[in-house]
Amino acid sequence: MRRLYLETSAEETKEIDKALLCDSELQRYYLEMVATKKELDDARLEPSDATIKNILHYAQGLQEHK
Amino acid sequence: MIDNRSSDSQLVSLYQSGNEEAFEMLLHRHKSRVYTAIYLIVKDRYVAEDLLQDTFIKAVNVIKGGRYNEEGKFLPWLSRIAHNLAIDHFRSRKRHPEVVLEDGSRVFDSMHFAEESFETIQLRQDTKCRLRALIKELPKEQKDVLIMRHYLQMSFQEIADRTGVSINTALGRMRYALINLRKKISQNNNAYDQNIYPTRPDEAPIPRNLGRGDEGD
Repeated sequence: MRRLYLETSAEETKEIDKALLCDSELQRYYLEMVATKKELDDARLEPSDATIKNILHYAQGLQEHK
Repeated sequence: MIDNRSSDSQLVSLYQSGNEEAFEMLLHRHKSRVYTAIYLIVKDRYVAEDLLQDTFIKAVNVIKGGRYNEEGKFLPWLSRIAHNLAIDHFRSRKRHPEVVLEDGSRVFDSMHFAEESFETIQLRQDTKCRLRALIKELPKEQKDVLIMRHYLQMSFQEIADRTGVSINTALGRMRYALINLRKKISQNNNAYDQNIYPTRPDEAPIPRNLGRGDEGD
């Protein structure tokens, strides 16, 4: 999981990648997790334009009053 | 010069110096992920929109008030604000429940007058919507870790600290969250093609010629 989310040190990453190369079952499992992670990204929602405009107006309003 | 390669830290500094474009870039960079995380917690799009606004407004107030000192950890800081607001809302709503449909819309929102074909409406209930529904079905501990790690970009250590468990427990919950999602996605893909039409009456659009045509416009 830490490798999947880039929380491993350089040394740990090297070791894990080596293990992935040597173990096809582990590799298959890891690739499934990578695919699931990608789908989670695809499932992201976008807020409405109105919400974004409100936030920007607020941020700019504070700027103007300064 | 501001571009996509500017770090969050650089953008915050620029915004503190009065560069509004820098804030706009920060907003656009993180809005989707934070909004999705809030929505998965509160399960209501309108509330999620409000809480997203509240999150960024709080961030603006802190930054412009000279109280920002996160030193290069903008997203984790923003995520904590968002997560706290969402959890607070979720807890208060448990005391005063409202009726919300599976896709996060409210009951009366489903009574829309159909401008488009039934098939087009059905197509819009696509993989993304199904996946979000599957995330919501996960056991709470797994869902919480998944939202915090994947959408709010909190580290596993921070998640462990926030939820009062060991890092190994947090890692395990994330692992099971992804495994369970993978299983559900596979099952869903096998079943979906057989169900072209919805089974729930509240998903069916109301034709425009039902009753007075101008009602609800």
